[in-house]
Order: sequence, then structure tokens, then C-alpha cells
Amino acid sequence: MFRLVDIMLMYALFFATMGYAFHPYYHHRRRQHHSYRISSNILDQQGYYRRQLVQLYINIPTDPSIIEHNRQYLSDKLGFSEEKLDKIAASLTFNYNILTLDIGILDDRVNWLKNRLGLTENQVKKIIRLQPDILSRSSKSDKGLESKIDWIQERLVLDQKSLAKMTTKSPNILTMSIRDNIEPTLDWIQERVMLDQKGLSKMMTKHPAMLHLSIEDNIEPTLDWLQERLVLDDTALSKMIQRMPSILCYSITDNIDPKLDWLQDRLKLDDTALSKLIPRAHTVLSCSTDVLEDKLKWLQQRLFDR
Amino acid sequence: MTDEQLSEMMQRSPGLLSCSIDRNLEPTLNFYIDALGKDHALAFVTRIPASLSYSLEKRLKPRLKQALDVGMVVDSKLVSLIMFYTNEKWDRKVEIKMGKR
Repeated sequence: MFRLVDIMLMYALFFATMGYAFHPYYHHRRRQHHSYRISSNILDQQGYYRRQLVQLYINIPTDPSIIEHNRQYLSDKLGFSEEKLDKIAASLTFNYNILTLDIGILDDRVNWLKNRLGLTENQVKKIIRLQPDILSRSSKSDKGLESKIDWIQERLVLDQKSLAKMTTKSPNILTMSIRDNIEPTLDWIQERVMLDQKGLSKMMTKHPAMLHLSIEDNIEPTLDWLQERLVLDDTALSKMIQRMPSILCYSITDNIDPKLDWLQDRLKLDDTALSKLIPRAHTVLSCSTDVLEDKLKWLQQRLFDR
Repeated sequence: MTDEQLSEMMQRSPGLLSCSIDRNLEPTLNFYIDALGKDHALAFVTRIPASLSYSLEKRLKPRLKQALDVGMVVDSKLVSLIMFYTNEKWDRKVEIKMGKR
């Protein structure tokens, strides 16, 4: 005869198997995350598998000593602030985040990342503080860091130094999908901006944050707008973007358009003169109009008010 | 300086807008004033605005020191050579001057 509790556990097992086994976190957690064991006698008697499935299905908190150990590690080794650690602790997904990893896993992953990317101590601290979620990924899993880094390094023909530079500037790329984001963006930019392999590598090393931009919403409209506003042919546009890829991250309405209007008015430039000037002084787009005005006033005063 | 003159200068050397006043423009202008005297320096820079965008530490200062060491006369013509010459041409000029000494 089944006891009532057995029937309830069978239900729990059924839903746990159906619901959780297909959840992406399931396999990950099963291997690497410690769940606090229920000290119930009933569960202890029913065997390991039943307990594990029930633990996964029901939100059971991780042993607080593990969380404390991982907090201490992140604070001592990587310089995380208490505020940042509290924020991570508050952002649990299915009772999971980097603070719930078994003791030792964080250190293994930090060392692996440091060696694989050829990072200095400060670079690895910077990367992980900016993007702690990187440590939630196993290097060995199918979509893990190792295959991602290998792909980026091969696609962009990066030496170890450039790889370290690129990932330190924009650690978020390590959390992006190659298939859905990185690969299509690289292919599109290479084609549109007419870049050879070397040009693409140089641009991405210089400004990897570009990979976070949407082609449809950001990159394509900005390129089209610049080309039209500054009357640039494809070659001139390519040259300008290669010199200053960060221009693609600026807002047209809030930054580029008003600044070009200001410059045109301040220096009494017609459209042709403006389109000749900007490609030779594209960095003006990264300065505020106050800074530009200061420079112009300085030149006027120092060179002519004798 | 009128706005028209300023506009013309910026169109000839838009790179000046990218230079920092404290790190580039001011020290470089002072270099020319020290080398040529105020009036000649201002006339020189106004004539060749791009002169303010040359590297002070990598090009202008070391070449002026070499020029003084081999006894060249420092005037606007020499300063323009300091700016424009390639390393190869500049080294040859210094060697010729040294040979004459």
C-alpha cells in the first residue's frame, strides 16, 4: 500500500521530471550546484534520486556557508564590494547564481579565464567585476566559454594580446551568443563597411562594444544617416568608421546631428565644407560643444589677440 | 581673429579640434614661441595651423635639440623642416651639418 506521502512524492517526481529536466539550468545545476539537503526523515528514506528531483523542483536554499565562502572569495580575490555582492545575492534565478556554486569552482574558473585570455591580475579583476555572470559558465560545456573564445580568436585572427585587450574592454561579449549575435554582426559589418580581415580585427579590438549594437536599430541607420548627411561614398564612409568605430555608438538625434549643426553654424560651413571637415576631424563628435567652443576661443585669443 | 579666419583655419587643419588645450595646443605654441620669439611664432602658426598638431615630445623637441647641438640657425625655415621632414631626410640633414663642422 502506498502511503499518502508516497503518492504526493510521486506527483512531485512526475512534475519535477517533466518540468525541470527540460529547463536549461537543470543539467548545469545538477552537476555544479550544491543544494541544501532536506533533513526530513521521509526524504532520507526514499533515496537519493527522489530527494534530488524534489530538491530541484522545490526552491530550496543553498547552504548559507557556501554562499558566505563565495562572497569572501569574490571580495578578497577580486575586490567585489559588499554592495555588489548583495546585489548578486539578491538576483537568484531558480535559486542559482555564482554564489551558489560549489566551493572551489569560482577559483578554478577565474584561473582558467586568466590563463586562456592571457590576462593580468588587474585585467581579470576588471572583467569579472564588470561581468560576474561570466563565472556562471563552465568552460567545458557545449556553449561554454572555451568554444566561444576559440571561435572569436579564430574569426578575428587575434593574437593573445589583442584577445586580452578586446575582452577587457568589453567583457560582455563573452556572454553573447556566437550564432545569434556575434557571427551575424561581424559578417554584416565586414560586408557593409568593406573591411578585409585585418581591418575587421583592428576595428573590433579597438571598439568591441560595437558587437552589442543591433544592426537594424543602430548600426545600419547610423551608417546610412552619416553617409547621406556628410555626402560620403562607401570608401570614405569605411575610412571614417575604421578610424573612429565608436561613432556608431553615438545617438544621431542627441549627439551627432545637433553637433554637426552647431559646427556648421559656428564655423560658417556649407554642406560641402562640413562633409570635408568631419572625416578629417571625426573625434569632434566625441567632444561636447562646450569643449569645442573652448578650443576655438583659445585659438582666437592666443593666435590673434596680440 | 575674425570668424572667417577661424573657419578657414579649421577647414585647413580640422585636426586641431581634436587636440587638447592643456596637453597639446598650449605647450606646442609655447615651444614655437621659445624657438622663434612671440611675433614670429604666432605668424608661423597662423600660416601653418597644422604645426600645433605635431608631437612635441617625439618630434619637435628632440629635433630642435639636435639642430642646436650641430649649430643650425633656428628660424622659421628650419622649424618647418623640423616639422615636415621624414626621419630619414632629417637624419641626413643633421649628418651633413655635422660633416661640415
